Amino acid sequence: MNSDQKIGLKSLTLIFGISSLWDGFTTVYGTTAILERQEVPQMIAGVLLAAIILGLLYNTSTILNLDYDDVVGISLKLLWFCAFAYDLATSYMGNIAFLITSPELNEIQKFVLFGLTFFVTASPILLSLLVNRIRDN
Amino acid sequence: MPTDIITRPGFKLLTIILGVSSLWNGFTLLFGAIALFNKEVIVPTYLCLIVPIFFLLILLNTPVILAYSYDITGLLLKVLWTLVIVYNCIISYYGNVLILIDNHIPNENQKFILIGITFFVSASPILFSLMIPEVEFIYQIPQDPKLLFTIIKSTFVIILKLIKFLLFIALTSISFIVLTVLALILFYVIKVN
Repeated sequence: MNSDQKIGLKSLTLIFGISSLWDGFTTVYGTTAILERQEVPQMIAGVLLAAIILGLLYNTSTILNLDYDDVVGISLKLLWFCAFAYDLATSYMGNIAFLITSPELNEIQKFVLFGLTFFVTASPILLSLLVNRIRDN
Repeated sequence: MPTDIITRPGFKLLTIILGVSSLWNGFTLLFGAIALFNKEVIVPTYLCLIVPIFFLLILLNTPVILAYSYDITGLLLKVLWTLVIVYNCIISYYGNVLILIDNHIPNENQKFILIGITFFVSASPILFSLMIPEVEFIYQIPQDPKLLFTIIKSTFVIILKLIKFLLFIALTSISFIVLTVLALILFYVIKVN
């Protein structure tokens, strides 16, 4: 890998890192919005859920490479899939609660929100794969 | 699990997150016990503390239970462990309902979030115990199936082994439990105020 590629990878890592933070924020915001309360316990639960989800997604490359005959490996893989599904849902709801002020969504807004949610949710996974790639090189 | 994976920063961070999440599991178990038991039967709140302590003791020692041989003690422990997982999920759910939505009836979206939090939080102590690097020594616990000759003797042995097991897990998890209890008391004081 040449130096230009390395710089490109590092800048991508930075972008995905920021995007992952947004993912965490929308998870917390979405959780508290759904629970309809924004007090200390709800915030703690939201932060905890976001931390678990981000923690699992950030370890994507490690978790997916674990053995299938290992209890930890199978459990973490199962939890990883659940985390990904939950991340999609909570991020979507968080984006709606944070970005949309109107009570109903039109088609264009839905399309943009789906895209945003998809890219943001994919960020920690891609960040994990990129960090692994950089470490291996 | 390979040492190079356990020592990775991201994996260490995940272990810490799961440890903190196990504390939250303790909270939800306490509040769940209060929500379930204080309604129908008047149980003092301090007695409800037994639930999180007992459940966390069992769940945090998952490696011990899974590595135990399939003699009567081992089977009993595995059955107990499975029951604790099921009850942990149920009581945690009620705890989350009490803490997060003040015991109101949840709507569909809230149910989705509550089930998710319950699932992740209930899985935390199990995975935390399996992921901590110090777990390797637990697999070397002495196991002697020859002790079980008669039913009376086997019962006696089971009781002794259970006491030994409880003492062992109490010693290994003592710092974690102390922290849990302190955090629970602090949280309860905040909630009451």
